[in-house]
Amino acid sequence: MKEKILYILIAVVLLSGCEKFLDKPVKGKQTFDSFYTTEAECTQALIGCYQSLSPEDWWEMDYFWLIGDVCSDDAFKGNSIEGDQQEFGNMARWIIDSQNEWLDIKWRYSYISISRANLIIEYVPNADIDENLRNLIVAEAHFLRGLAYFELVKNFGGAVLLDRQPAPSDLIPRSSIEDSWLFIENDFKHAADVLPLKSEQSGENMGRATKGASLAYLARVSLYQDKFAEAKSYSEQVIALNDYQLEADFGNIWSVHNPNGIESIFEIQSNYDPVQYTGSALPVLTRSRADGGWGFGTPSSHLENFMQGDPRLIHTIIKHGDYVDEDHPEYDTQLDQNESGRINRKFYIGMDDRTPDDEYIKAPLNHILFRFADLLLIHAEASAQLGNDGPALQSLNDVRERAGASLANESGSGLLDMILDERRLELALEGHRYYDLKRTGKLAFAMEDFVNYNLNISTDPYDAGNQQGVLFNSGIHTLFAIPQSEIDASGGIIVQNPNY
Amino acid sequence: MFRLKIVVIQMLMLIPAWAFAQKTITGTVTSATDGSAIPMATVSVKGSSNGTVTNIDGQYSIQANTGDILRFAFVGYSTQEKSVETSNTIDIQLLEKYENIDEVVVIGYGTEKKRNVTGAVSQISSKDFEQRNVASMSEALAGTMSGVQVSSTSGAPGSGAFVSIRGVSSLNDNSVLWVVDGMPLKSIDYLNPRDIESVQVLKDASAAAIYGAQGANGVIIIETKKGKMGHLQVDFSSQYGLQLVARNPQLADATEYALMQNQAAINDGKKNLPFDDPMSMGAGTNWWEAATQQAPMHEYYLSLSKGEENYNISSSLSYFGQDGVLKGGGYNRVTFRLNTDYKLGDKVTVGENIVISNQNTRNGLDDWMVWDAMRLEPTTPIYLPEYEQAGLNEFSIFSPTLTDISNLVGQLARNFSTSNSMRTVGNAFFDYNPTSYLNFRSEFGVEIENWTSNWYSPNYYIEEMDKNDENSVGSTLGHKFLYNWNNILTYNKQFDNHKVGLMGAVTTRSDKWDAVTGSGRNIPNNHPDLRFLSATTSAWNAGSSNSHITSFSMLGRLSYDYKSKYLLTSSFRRDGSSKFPTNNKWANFASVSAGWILSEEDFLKDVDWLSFLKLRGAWGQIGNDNIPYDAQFTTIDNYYYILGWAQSLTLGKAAGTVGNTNLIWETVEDMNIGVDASFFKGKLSIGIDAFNRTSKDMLMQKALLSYMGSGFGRQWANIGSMNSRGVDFDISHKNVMGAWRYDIGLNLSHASSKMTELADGEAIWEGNDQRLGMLTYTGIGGPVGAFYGFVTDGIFQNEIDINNHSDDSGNVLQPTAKPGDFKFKDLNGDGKITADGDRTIIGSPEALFSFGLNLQLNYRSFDLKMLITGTYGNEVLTPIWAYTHSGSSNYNSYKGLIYDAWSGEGTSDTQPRIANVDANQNFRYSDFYVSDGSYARLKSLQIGYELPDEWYRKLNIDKLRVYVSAENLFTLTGYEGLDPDMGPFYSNILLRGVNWGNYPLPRIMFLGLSVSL
Repeated sequence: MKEKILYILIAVVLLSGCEKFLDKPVKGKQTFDSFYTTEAECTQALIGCYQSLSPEDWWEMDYFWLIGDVCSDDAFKGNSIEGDQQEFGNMARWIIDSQNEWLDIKWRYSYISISRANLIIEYVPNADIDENLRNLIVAEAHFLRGLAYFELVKNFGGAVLLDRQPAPSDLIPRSSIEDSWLFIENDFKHAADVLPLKSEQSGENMGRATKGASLAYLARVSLYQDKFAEAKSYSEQVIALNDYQLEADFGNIWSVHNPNGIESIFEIQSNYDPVQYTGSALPVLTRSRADGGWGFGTPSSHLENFMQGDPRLIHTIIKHGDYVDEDHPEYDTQLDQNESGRINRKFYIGMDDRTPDDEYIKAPLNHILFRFADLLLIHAEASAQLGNDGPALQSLNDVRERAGASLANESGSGLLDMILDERRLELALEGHRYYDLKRTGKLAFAMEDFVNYNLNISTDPYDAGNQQGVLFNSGIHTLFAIPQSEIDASGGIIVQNPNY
Repeated sequence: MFRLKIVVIQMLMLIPAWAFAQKTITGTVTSATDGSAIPMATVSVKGSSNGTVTNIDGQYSIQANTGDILRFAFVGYSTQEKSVETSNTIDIQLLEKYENIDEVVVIGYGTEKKRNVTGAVSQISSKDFEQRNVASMSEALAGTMSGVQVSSTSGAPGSGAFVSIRGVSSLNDNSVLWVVDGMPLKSIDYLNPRDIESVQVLKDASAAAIYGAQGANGVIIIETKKGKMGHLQVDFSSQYGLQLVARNPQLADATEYALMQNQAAINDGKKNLPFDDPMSMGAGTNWWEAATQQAPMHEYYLSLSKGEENYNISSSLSYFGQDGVLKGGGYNRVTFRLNTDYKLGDKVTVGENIVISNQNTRNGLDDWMVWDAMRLEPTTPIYLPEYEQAGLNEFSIFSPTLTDISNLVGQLARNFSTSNSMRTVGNAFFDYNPTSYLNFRSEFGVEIENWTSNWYSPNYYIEEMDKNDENSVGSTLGHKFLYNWNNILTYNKQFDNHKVGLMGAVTTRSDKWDAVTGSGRNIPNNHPDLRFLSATTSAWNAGSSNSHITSFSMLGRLSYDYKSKYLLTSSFRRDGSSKFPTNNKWANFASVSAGWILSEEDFLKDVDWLSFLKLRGAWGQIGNDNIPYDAQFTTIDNYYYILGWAQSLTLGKAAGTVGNTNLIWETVEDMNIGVDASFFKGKLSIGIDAFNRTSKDMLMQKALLSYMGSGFGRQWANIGSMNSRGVDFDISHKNVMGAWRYDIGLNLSHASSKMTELADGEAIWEGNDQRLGMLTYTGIGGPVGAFYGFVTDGIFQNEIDINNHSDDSGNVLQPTAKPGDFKFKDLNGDGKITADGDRTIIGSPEALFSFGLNLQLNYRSFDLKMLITGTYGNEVLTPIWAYTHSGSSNYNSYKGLIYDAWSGEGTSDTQPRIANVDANQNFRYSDFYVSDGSYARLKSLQIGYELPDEWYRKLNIDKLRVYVSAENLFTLTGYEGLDPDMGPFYSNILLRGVNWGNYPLPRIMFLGLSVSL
């Protein structure tokens, strides 16, 4: 038994060193526990939150921006190869169900933005750093959270409202659409109170959120709720900042050489990097399949007809055979794989600006989410709704004048219709159409007209007879379906939108 | 050449024998049962290297001194010894040994006679699997014993099988623990199955408890071959195999494809048909044929072994090489093994076991190829016409396709991915017996692995959407060092009728690896000699990863045996693991088991037909810490954004992995009762075990709600409890009838799982399929990984059918449906067909039972071994049918879809119309994708013949055997997919029975030869 006792002694000695032996921290990575302490870390957390606007790959966020056009009369799924992104095609055809992968992705990735913003809002205030910097970072996080919720609400209706990072076991239902709008307004108001003007932004920080962007979003959010007085007021505040002007040349707005131009209020930043995937996918997603693109979101002849005679047409649509540039004197839209023989001109970039590798995730084109012309039209629309035709005409004609279009002189409902039409002309293929139609109650009419045109009237050689829109149902399709995976995972706490 | 050397060695060995005056002993060895001669029986002089074997008539001749002891041994018979006296003739009758209950079983830090084992333990020896010509031991276990389910995860070269013991024990990694010569390991792909002497499976917690944390899913103990007393034994074997695709999918040809695409366009209401003249298209490209091949398989194996009083030594060198039936993949392995034991005096033994293994893998495209080959349109030729190929590099001569799938042969041409692993696994031991009842043993084992993987991506241009402007190359180098140190003290003593055993041990383990990876772009050209990082000129990227896991355990075991009738074993252990947060690192686990050998009781002792009867009962707990080293930590990763007028790359950071600081040990607790019985002197034996196992606080990487904001990221968590219960049944019968010997074994296993608790109340969904959504559902009261979807109810034959499919108030349930579309059941009766209310469990991957049937038959020099395996009552999900059975989206379909699909009233009630525009979503996830997965397969068949020894005796060859064999020869099944034998997809237990384009098992035909010197 002596051995036994000795053995126990050995075991005891071994044990004392044991706790340390069993302590194995993560190596080669910072951990959450010790993060959000220094100025550099807090700033990096914020940049990480911006990154969620355009994650690495094409499918996470970039692709869904096309939904605003393909779920309307402006554009088709585009790529006529049935098997190429069939579920995206199902969105465009209004064969929409809760298991459509694009709805899942939009929902899922919007909440990544929200989560990153919430962690900043929760932890940065405790960091022992310069107070101004701290307030700035937190305010920008509010802006980004408001932006993410705005995207969720305009697509899905009432969202799961989170003002902090929930624990994994928290089951939280969706809030009403009214509460959701209120939440978004509060975020943008917080941001508007703290953030600097665009003109005050330092050179290296250009592209980050500003006071002007926050107010502009407040105007847009108000307009989406038909709160016209607020929309008018906020848009006037933006105008009064004197921070923004219309580009002299409409064609320069979307130029790859004009990032954060004078008209830009907020845009997602993109540039080529040999190693990191910091570019945009939109140029490749929308370009012709004969020109290194994937051919999605092709413009309709319905849109082209609508823009006929408008100087903005040539900056909006490239039609099969058009002269584009020296490398493309007769543009090939790859007719056998293009539903409408046209492509989106706004996201087009010329050969010299294309990246040497992986252009589909590395294209340098910034994606403008909000520009001054849009704000002026919000101002015009809100003013017209309030019966203030004078200011409405003023803003409308600012936009038309820059475009080189004839000046308007309508009043009353005629003026309002003209402003709404102007939105289509000015902002075509920038992802607004579906949302504008549905908030103004014109979606059902527009889709009916679109189907009737395509099936009965159109003689267009490329898209006549296209059935997109036949399955549109106004009783369902003013909100998209909540992803089934989320409803299932919540055990039914999250409730589906009507009629899905 | 080697043969000559061996002869020389053997002759040298014999020199000392000649030095003494010896005489020649001759005699005949026969069977005590029927007096028939026993050929090939070993006759040796005990304590020397002198030995021989009997000839076909059972006769032998050997040199021996008076007083020497001769040993007579033959497989299946009890060994006998006889001392040499004056007579020069010794005839021996050997008794057949039907029972193997006196065999010794390794039970973990010790051994026990099989008759005394109280847990659920099964064992097989090399003769039970030596006919299986497979790359890995995991495959060779198939069908050999009950409770051990072996399913193929992939037929790719070098890939093993998925082995699970008694169904599901955790939702996490269910892989078993392998203990090779005392060294616990998670994989044994480095080992050649021919190096393995015996395999023991510890099925229940009481048996496996002694291996603790890693043994929660069951333990498989492997002993490699040791040198045996006697002369130098040299074995050589070689075999050549040809692998064939076991089942080719029947795919539509170009004509049929064109007809189908036209039909889809017509049904979509399109004016222009995609193909003007389908009948002129001919057969087109068969992408499956282009992707598959007949692939060779080679193996060479050489072993030497020898034992003396004070030492034994066993060594082998082997080569195994295999190409894949899907082109592009390949694997080879060179394995060297050396096992030695030395006795240093009476009390001390030292020894070592070491295996050095070098594995090379050419990584094929594997699963993707199955998807792509079945979906690519046959109208596209593989290559561009020759005049268009001019000036293109070798990667650019392929035709662009109509779909988003890149030309498959082009993909193969561009695939340059290889990996290499150099692995050394070994341990050394020191064994000290100060007295007859006390033993101290210290074992120190290491696993050292260096691995590299390299890939190269050439520049090419097929079309704008399918190109790479800049070539690139990348490498990963990794290093692993694992050690395991066991110190064991045992005490065994008999006091009259009481036998007491005590064991105490501490084990220390450290498992550490790190890897660096680098990549770059723009190599001057695609020349093979330039495909290295040093030739890259831009876009350099570097990274590293690492893991370090430590554990420490203390354990004790008490065993008690009264009169060899009443048996009791109890164990206790305390485990500490670095993977858990500080306060949760330690946990305690216990087990107890008992046995009663009824056949030793007076009232049964004299029952002639009953040879052995034992009742067993056991209860035990094991902890499971099967999570990565960093599961508790939330890490911060880099995310880059662009900012500033200069549009500069700007570093951002955000949470990467989502940690969990509340993780605790998972506990597997089970009860086992069993009966072992044998009858008629062991000619018939039966084993039955029933178990009930509960896994608590199961560790799993759980998908989070999207609104948690981790994207597709997952978090490790203790997600709930599960129960599984089942029965294992084995029956075997062996007999000798004249020159015939046979051995038949049948095993049946049943295991069913049920979720009993979910920590957050949320069901677990797994397998995100692009078309079908989440593939499996694991909810309370249901099995693990059930299939969950809509229920079809035939096809609408006309508008009246559609209008009649309405709720009580007359609402049409599927208003957008057209004749030819699926009718779905409104399960919740809300007047709508919705994902919320109308999906249900539509199938389960769990079999009612799985089985293995083994047959061995010997007749004189011929032998036949056969193995049939299968399952009954399980279901299989085939998501690829969303493509191959729908006829939409430009993808190809199976042959005949155009004729099977609904095309008018009464044409089909099972296969919907062909359409791209499908408002009814016919191909949503429904019971359409679920089929019966029962099958029976002739897994292995081997016929061997031992050549008459007079042909080669002069060459000093003991034994020369030739054989032909086949793996996976044929399968009976109603399943229409490629292969019903499928393990969990990528070993994910929640994806059992999901055919997600699995690499099917090949059929293999072999020719082989083995020689013993």
